[in-house]
Amino acid sequence: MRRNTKKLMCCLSLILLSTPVFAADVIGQVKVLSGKAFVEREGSHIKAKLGMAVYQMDTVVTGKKGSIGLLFNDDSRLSLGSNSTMSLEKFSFNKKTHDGNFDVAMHKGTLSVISGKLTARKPGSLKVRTPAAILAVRGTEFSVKVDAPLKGEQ
Amino acid sequence: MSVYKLSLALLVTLIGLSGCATTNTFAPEKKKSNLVFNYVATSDGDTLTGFCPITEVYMVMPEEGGKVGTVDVVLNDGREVVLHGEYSALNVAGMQANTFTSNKNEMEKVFGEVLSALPHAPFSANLYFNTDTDRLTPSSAKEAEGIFTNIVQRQSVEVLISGHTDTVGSSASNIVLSKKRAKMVSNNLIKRGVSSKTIKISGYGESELVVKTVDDVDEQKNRRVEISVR
Repeated sequence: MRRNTKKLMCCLSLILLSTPVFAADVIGQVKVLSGKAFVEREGSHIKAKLGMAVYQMDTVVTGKKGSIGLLFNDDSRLSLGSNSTMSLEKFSFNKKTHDGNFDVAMHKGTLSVISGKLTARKPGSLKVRTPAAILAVRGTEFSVKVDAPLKGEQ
Repeated sequence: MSVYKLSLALLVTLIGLSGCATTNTFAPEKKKSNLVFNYVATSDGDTLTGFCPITEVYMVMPEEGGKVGTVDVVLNDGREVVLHGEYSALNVAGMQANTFTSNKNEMEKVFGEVLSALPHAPFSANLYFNTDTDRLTPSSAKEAEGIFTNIVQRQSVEVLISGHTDTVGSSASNIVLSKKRAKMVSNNLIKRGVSSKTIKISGYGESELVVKTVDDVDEQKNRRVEISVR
């Protein structure tokens, strides 16, 4: 019996150890939401909710009438309009020194940004990559619209 | 050079014929074409092998408090553009990139929806109390109205409220008083519809003075709650 328990413990710890540690740190939260929005995380499609945490590598998608607003740890704020897709590619922020980087990939739709402590510390540390360009934000408020190229005749 | 011009002309013609829903107006007519044409601007083939070129708009927003926004743009072909100051904007359509100065109307039209989804800014504030009470000073009571209204407007909010006292009275009684002050502010928010789950309160008594004093000193700046809103 005792040996079995030991085996079980061993198995459990192996399982726990082998669980991929993905995006351990919360980087921001959903603060504004209207209509439908989703977060794609590790292959799963999660319905966005107010107060929900977001992580590095999440992709945020809004529906036809959806919009979403996110607040990040460095106080930067991002919002997406309808029919939009954005990936949170990289986020690092040192709370004490305010050093770090924030890289966003904007695939389609509309994005508004108000940069926070990261760009206050180091202008350009927030970058938005679009299909056509890379935008380095020195400060503080700007918006981007990316029209997804249509495929075939529409 | 002439080859480049020719291919650009061809591209422009094709865009015009393809009926792309772009913001630029190269061609007035919107005839449909059966021509197959793939325009690949970058290696991101999956999003770009469409019939239409990339069309993008970047715009610096107006800011309050005399701040001026700046964004450095590097296009895929290496061209660099600096957008500086409110309504400074860049329109990218295929290989064409044009800077322009936008205006409030245009901004509202293109970005009104996404701008209204921006979260409120996080902030912190202090409210001050009359001696030995959980009653706000008249000026703090006035300020509190604005703070409470701001908090209530938020769809999703976290509020940290910490109470503090000056050094008048025993430190044990000051712990109680500081908690009472925090509780008063918290109750006020709950009464206005803020969920109690989103509020965290604490009382530090006289342990965290803003103005360092010896014991038994009446100090307005120490009799406070600190509110942190995210």
